[in-house]
Amino acid sequence: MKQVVVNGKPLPIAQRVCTRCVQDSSIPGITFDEHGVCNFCHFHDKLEKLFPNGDEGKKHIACIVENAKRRGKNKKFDCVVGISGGRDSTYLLYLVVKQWGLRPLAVHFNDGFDNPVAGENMVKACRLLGVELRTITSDWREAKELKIDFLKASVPDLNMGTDIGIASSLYGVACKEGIKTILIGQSFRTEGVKPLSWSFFDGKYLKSVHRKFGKTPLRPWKPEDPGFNFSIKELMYYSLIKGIRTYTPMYSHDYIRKQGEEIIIRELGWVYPGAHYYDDLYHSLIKYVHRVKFNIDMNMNSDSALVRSHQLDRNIALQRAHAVYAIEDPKVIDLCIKRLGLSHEEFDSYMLLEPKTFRDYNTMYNYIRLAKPLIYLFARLHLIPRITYDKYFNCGK
Amino acid sequence: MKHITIAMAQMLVEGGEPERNFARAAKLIEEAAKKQCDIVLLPETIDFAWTHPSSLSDAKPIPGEYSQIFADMAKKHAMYICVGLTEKRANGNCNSAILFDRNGKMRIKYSKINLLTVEHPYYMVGSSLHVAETEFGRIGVNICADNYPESVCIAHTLCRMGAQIILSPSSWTVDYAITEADDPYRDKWIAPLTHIAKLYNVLMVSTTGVGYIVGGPYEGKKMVGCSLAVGKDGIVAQGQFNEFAGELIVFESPVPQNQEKGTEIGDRLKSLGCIGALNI
Repeated sequence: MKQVVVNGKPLPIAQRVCTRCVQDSSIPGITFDEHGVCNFCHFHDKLEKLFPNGDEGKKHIACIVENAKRRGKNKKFDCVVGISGGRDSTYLLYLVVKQWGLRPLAVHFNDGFDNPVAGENMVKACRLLGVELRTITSDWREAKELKIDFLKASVPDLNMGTDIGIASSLYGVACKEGIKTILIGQSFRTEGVKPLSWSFFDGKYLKSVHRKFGKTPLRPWKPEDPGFNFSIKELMYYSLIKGIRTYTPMYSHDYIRKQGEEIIIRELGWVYPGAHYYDDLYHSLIKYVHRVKFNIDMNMNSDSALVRSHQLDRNIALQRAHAVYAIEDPKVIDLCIKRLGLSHEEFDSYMLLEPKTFRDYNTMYNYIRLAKPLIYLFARLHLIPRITYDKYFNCGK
Repeated sequence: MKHITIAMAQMLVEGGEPERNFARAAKLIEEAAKKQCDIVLLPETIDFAWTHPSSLSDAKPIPGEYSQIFADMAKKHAMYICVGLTEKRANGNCNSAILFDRNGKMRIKYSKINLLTVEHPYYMVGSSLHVAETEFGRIGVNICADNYPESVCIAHTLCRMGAQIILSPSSWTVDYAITEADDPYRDKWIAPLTHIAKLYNVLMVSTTGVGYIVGGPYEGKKMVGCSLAVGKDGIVAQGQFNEFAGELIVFESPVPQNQEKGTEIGDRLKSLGCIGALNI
């Protein structure tokens, strides 16, 4: 049996593996039916019905596009498109311009760990597509401290600051420029669905961790310059008061990752950053910490999604599960530690802390559970991203 | 009239990452060589990035391991290279810039004089100015804030030493909140570079880095490019606003010719209403 060393102890990797995808019992909240198929696969099928691609998907995308054009009439931009220089967001930007005929403002959030290759991809793509790029840079003093806070908090959500920063910058720019539509490149068919305790997203959580471990206060929220402030309250402001809607059109698009990649290589000179998620160098460290400290393999989620979508051979995905991923480059991990101003001794001491989850901190989770029907309604009305509801209530534990 | 092709290698400079930075510099230098440039100008302190704490312990002497990399590249591509590096000396470090000729020979080593207060713990003040006679004419070198309006005496002196081209490796920084929608420097750099270029008919070329400042006293700021070349008639070339990707800006320019020397310069400045050095 394959083994993994977690916190210095050898453990069996998994007792049970889904018979359809490659997710295994290392995933919190995973269950298996009588055929050995996991609940994430069933959830994938549910999403397939909710968001069909093919002709139905085209109709849905046409609605999104028409709506964005209508709401962007007499304005400089129809929509905000979040980009990272990675494959999915670059391809989305390509589709938005070349196939859907929208006038996007590309928005990128820079937290100081951008992979230079991804940076060049963004610049090239925007230049070749004639798209204006707006880069929202975090204050490094805040961004750095938040990264250290989450290492000290001993939770897997090591990029919470960046995740919050990305969301807040998209809404902040949309608010500033009077843009009513945000498009993001996520797709359950290629990204999969992560269990809640691997992907919990909440600004209150960030603040409670920062209050406990941080030293300097974060700058306050302003609608057009939200910084690292993004929770239910801010989301409600942007969606209900400012009327900003977020869509995930790739849910409905016939997206074959390999084909999308070929198109952006050919048309936009896109260069593969070296690995999935590697548009952000910090993922090198995250991947290492996840594997060694938490026995988490996020790639298993995306590989499982690709297996379900018939874009990856299951045997290949099985071989890759829990393996040391290419992204774990010791030089880049060193770069991350050094860039945070940490010594190796300090970093090692964080690695030895007892693993925790968001449930060990003050979050909105209990309120979110109480507001489940409301969140469902908001997601269906696109007042908040559809994935928001799924993330909190359909993603394991 | 002689013409010169110059490449401004506006590159991403990552704090504390000399190997990664040199790899990027090498790519841009190679690209400049393919475009048959005569000179490639790189930014300031591209080894560790400007005021990065690791420079205090890890800087190398010049000549030394790091400067040799650029000497070798200059020789390999038969191209002039001007680059900013941190220089380790016996009693401290300097923020230095070096000019190599086509044979890889070091023609100028200059250390920044107009150091910002925040630089003082990192670098010692330079003590000399230099120009080099080249096949294009005289080239002078200064660094970034040496061209501040209150410090243009440095460029004045280089011009009086006969400089026809002044190369200035730089690390122009702005607050993190500045975006592509803003004019990052306003007149901060255009004004002093234009002032000198017009006054002396000299080509002022300044290449800045791009990237996030990730250590040292300027955390919270970033470099966003917009490198600049200015001649007597105004802007000759300019880089794009960018904070995470490099670009090579190549331009051709006639080499400015100016026959004035010594007190002739002073006489002309007087005729322009600049009476003595106190008013210029």
